[in-house]
Amino acid sequence: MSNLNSNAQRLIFHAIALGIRYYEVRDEHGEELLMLTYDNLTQVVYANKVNDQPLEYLYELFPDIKEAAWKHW
Amino acid sequence: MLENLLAYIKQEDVAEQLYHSLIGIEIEEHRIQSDGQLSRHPYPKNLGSRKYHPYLQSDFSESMNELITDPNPNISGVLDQLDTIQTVLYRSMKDDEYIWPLSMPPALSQEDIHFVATHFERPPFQKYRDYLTQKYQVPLKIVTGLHVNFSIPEPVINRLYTHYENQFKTLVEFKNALYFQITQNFVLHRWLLTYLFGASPIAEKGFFSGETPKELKQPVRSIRNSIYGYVNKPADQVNVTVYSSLGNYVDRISDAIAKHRLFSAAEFYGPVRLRGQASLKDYRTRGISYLEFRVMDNTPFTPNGISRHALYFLKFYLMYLLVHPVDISNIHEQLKQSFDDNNRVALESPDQPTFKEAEGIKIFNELIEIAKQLHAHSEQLQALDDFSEVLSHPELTASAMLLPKIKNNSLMHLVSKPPKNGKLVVPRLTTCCQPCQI
Repeated sequence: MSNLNSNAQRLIFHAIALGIRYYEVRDEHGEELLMLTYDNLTQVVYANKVNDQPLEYLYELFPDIKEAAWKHW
Repeated sequence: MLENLLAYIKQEDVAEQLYHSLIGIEIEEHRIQSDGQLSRHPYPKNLGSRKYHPYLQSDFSESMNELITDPNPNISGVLDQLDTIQTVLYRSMKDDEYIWPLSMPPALSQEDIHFVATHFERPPFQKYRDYLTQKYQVPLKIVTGLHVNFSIPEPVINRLYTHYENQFKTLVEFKNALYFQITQNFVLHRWLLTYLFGASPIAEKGFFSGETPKELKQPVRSIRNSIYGYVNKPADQVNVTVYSSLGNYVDRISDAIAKHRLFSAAEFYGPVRLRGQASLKDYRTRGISYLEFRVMDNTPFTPNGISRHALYFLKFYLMYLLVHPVDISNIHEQLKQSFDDNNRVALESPDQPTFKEAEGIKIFNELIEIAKQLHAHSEQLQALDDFSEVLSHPELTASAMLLPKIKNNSLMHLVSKPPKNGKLVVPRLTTCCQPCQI
């Protein structure tokens, strides 16, 4: 986590808050990747490509979560 | 049945893989408010739904948050993730909320108990919750703790199985034997972890509805691990002897559920739970996937409730339990004795030597011998060395280090100096000295 840039770290904080599973992995060239999983959908993004709007980015990756996340029971 | 396991681990050169067994942590902890009472604020609205959330859940009360890590082969990885989840929880809390660092709940008024009993926002669990409230009452159900999940890498199991194919018809039977040997040893030696990691020395005002039991008039090592803590009722007939065999574990708990003595397997409060199958009977045919150890008290000296050092010790200790033979000839009596011994250790005075010290020294000698044979890493050796020191120095145990902080049989004054930004954990107590690092 501490290896990641601030946008990627913020994305992980938002992912955890929303309940999106995340894994830090590397590609064959050693580039940091974030594997994000929610409701049987997995998205893999390059950590250094995460923009400065990580929450909006997560909503783009997982359109259904915005509604599901706030149903609390 | 599992003779020569240590020799085969060496022969197959799988010690390093065993060091990378998967560990996951679940920790329960209460949100409290500035005055120390359980938080009246609802579950944080900015956290995703508890219907599916993999990392943040709640337990009996809405204030009782549960943080769950993924299984990870590296201790650093587990603690990093736990740290991140903790941070997310802190950020989701109200400005006047903090985290209570101890397993025993803060002082409870009748209003607090009534509030907890009448505020629950998870309708699908309401029936179970009402049942628990009626059977155990609120205070006992809001005791918190730390659970450690553990699984052996499948390739290691496969490699070792080649030496036992004549004894076990299937890989599942062999895997169950490995996991159940750890389970039985864990229960038989439970007192050691109660001694090392017990950190629930006192019950705050309001925990007991009647008079405080006479054994608890003075601080003890761990109320939570004693008969006054998180245990099933004798009438439920799921006492420590359920661990006499895998079949007995499955049959006794299944019977208790079928006859409505237990609501479900989730109401079994033994020190170890077999995990990985939705139905108890499937453990026989599909096998145990991992074990859940449930005896660790929340340690107030580290932000995450457990230290790196403790996890290094625990992981190696589980390897010891894996290779240590179990004498099953009088297992019933041994299990009953282990229950009594654990209770006695739990109720000992924290700064006094334990009556089990000699046995503990023997265990640590064996641990260190195995560590040498398996070329343990420096972190593991250091942890073994330090915790062996704790065995002969009770003043270094977590419960003893809490003693000077107790004022008028209470630790409530810990919340008198909240952190400046209002969103961090209640300051954990500083460690008194090394090498404890409990």
